[in-house]
Amino acid sequence: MSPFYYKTAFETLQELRKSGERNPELVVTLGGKIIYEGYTGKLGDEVWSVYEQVFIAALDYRNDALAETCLERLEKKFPKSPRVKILTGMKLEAEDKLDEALELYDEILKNDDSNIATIKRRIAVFKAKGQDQRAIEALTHYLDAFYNDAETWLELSSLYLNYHLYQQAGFCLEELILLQPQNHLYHLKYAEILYTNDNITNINLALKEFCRVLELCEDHVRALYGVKLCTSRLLNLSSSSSIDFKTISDLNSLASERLSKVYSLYSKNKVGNSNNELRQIIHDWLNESDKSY
Amino acid sequence: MNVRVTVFDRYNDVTCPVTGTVLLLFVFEKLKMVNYVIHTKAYLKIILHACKHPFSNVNGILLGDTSINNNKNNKNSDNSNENDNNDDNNDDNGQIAIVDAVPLFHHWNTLTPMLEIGLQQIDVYAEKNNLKVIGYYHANERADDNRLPPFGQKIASKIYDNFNNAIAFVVQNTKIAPENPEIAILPYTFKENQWRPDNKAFSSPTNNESSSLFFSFENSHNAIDLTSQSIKQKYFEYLYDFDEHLENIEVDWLINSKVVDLTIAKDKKGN
Repeated sequence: MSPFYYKTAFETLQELRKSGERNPELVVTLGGKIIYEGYTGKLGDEVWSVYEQVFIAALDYRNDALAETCLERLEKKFPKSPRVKILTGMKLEAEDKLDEALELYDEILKNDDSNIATIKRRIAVFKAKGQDQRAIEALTHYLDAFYNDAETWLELSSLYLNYHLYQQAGFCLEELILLQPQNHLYHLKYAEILYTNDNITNINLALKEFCRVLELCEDHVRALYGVKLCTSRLLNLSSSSSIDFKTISDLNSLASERLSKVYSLYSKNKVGNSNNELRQIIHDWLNESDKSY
Repeated sequence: MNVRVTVFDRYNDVTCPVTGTVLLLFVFEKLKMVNYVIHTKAYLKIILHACKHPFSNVNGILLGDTSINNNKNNKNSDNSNENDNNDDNNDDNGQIAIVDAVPLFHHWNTLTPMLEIGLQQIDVYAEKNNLKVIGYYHANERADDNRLPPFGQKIASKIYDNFNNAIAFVVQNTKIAPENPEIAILPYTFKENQWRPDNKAFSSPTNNESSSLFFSFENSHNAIDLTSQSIKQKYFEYLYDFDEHLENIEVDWLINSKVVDLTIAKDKKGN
């Protein structure tokens, strides 16, 4: 049996906690080893965050025994902590006892109405119950107080999108761009929302946002496709003289040029039938979309 | 009268006495016999796509082989096909082979720009391989949610505009578990101006005499067993969708040859 490098495991778990990546399988495997094979003593004070992390992953991965172990130890150490109460609530959620979980969260909020984690769990319960309307209300209420919470703006925008509320979803993304103007993903999603909410002004704006993505992140394939799409649309709609035909058509050719460049670069170091076929498809698609206007 | 009873049994939500008659007429008018045969490759890709992104909505496109369909049709009903030559989408009696699936998105699937690009490229691919876009599939974020969401209905309706036997599948997340695998897709068909689930789709035809749409697998043992085996082997890690392709253009989202090689090709060798 290969030796268990607990230090590496500790580091991996710590990185996952920092990044917030949801990888329950890995966390359960590492956490299970640490807890069942007695490495917890080596963790020092970090042990409690590891218990919490492993507990949540165990719920995700439906490892009930491991979850139970973690929760027991946490409850013993912090009998009155609201943070542990939230974990109990999450266990109820995992067992599909949504109303009981909701009661518990309401109780925590009675004592401390600005407990962010609880507010978010409450919203998650609404989503799990399929009550999107209530989730949207709760999210907007929360954002009134904590407007700089990027994750929540993103959640709200995707709920709006489920109901085709593009203008509202776009507003969320505008807030996100104000909060983090350098994050190209927000510009990208904003551009896609604008394009979906179809009219000439919006497509013009979408084009600008796709260009912004390319400015922040060179040869971003998704944005190149976006530029190609917006410019083709504008050229097809060009009955009105208000748009700058020359610039748009230059941008269109530039996007095609970059796309074929990007694809040819990768296919050089690749061989094989399926790769040839894929390259041919992109090639044909570019030709076809150039013919269309 | 038999038909009438069945109609109301299945659509309890529309048992209003007035619309009832209208519906009945509509059913008679649109009565068609279609046999959908789901190939292992298509089923495998749908389920693996859902498994790869268990916390998100995922969706994709179903491709059908219309040349098989026409050949089979010729055998069954030579005359009718000759008469219908000018409109080959309208073969209401026939077999539709759902031979492949192309995974599209897992980040967000309610926005159109990349959907447009993806569908255009799928069209190019389908045409080259004598295939046709015949349907849509979707897996919801919540495990117990078997509804076809509004945006999915829109995409499916677009496909229906071009192909009047279009179909939509929603993955039944709770039935995927490899320990006890069942048929984990719920077909939706467009009837009476709405996308409606066909809950009895895979029950045996004898229970289902009045239904005119049949669903079966090319090889049902194969599809379900192979799929649950490849979930256990974690082959879903090698399945890529269009979202992933846009992040790294080296990955093959259209053919997904690696997944096919690992499961189906290997299985054929083994036999």
